Amino acid sequence: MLQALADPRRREIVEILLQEEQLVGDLARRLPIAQSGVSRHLRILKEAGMVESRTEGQRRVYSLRAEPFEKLSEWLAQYRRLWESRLDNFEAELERRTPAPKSTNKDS
Amino acid sequence: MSEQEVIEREVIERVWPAPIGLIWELWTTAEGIASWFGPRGFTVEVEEIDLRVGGIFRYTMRATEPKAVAAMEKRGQPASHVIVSTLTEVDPPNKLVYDSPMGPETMTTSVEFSEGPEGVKMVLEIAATKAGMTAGAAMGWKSSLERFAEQLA
Repeated sequence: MLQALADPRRREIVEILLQEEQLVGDLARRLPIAQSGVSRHLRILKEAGMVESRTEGQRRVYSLRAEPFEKLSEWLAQYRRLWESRLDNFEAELERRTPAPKSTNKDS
Repeated sequence: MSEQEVIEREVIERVWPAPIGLIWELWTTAEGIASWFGPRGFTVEVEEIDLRVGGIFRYTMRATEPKAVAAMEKRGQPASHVIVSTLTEVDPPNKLVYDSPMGPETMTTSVEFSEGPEGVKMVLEIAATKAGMTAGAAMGWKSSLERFAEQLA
């Protein structure tokens, strides 16, 4: 997915699609590249699972898919949970290795 | 590191009333790390930690409890895997930064310790980084993600 976004033009397309879905022709008018170029970028984004299209009469409308965007955040959120679990272990280990605090400190 | 830009990050802070030297030791020695690094259901064995810039930090993480083994299976991952990271900053006893390859992305882990009145404050930052993305692009991407998330909500 990040590979697909390595290209600045494709990031620009994603930026536009964030606002609203687009026809290929409308995208081409907003970007300084030919419609064939836009189609090529859209194909790459589609293969990466980032955009989807539907047909409206004779025209094809492109929009963003939600799933990959959620995945990236979820990926990091998973690591956060792993670290929270690790740090709980760390605290237990730290307590084992430090002299017991005075009994007045105990509140449980 | 300079050409790597952060795409997403998470920050965790904790304060421990313990000597900074002991905290640093637990974070940077093979024996110290092994005593806490494995999350619940996992054990960790540190094969190498070469504490200098460019040094290698290599460990094996093994799922030991049935629940953890099953969780790894579900994700299509082996119960045991080796993680090889490269240290990019070493400033005892205050700062440690290392990069770990995670599939096509890189995970940068940075931890800082500072002594304060209530003990040692730890600030841990985990960030997904991607080489070759400019700062502006990464920022734009991040803000796009946020806007997109708002639209979904």
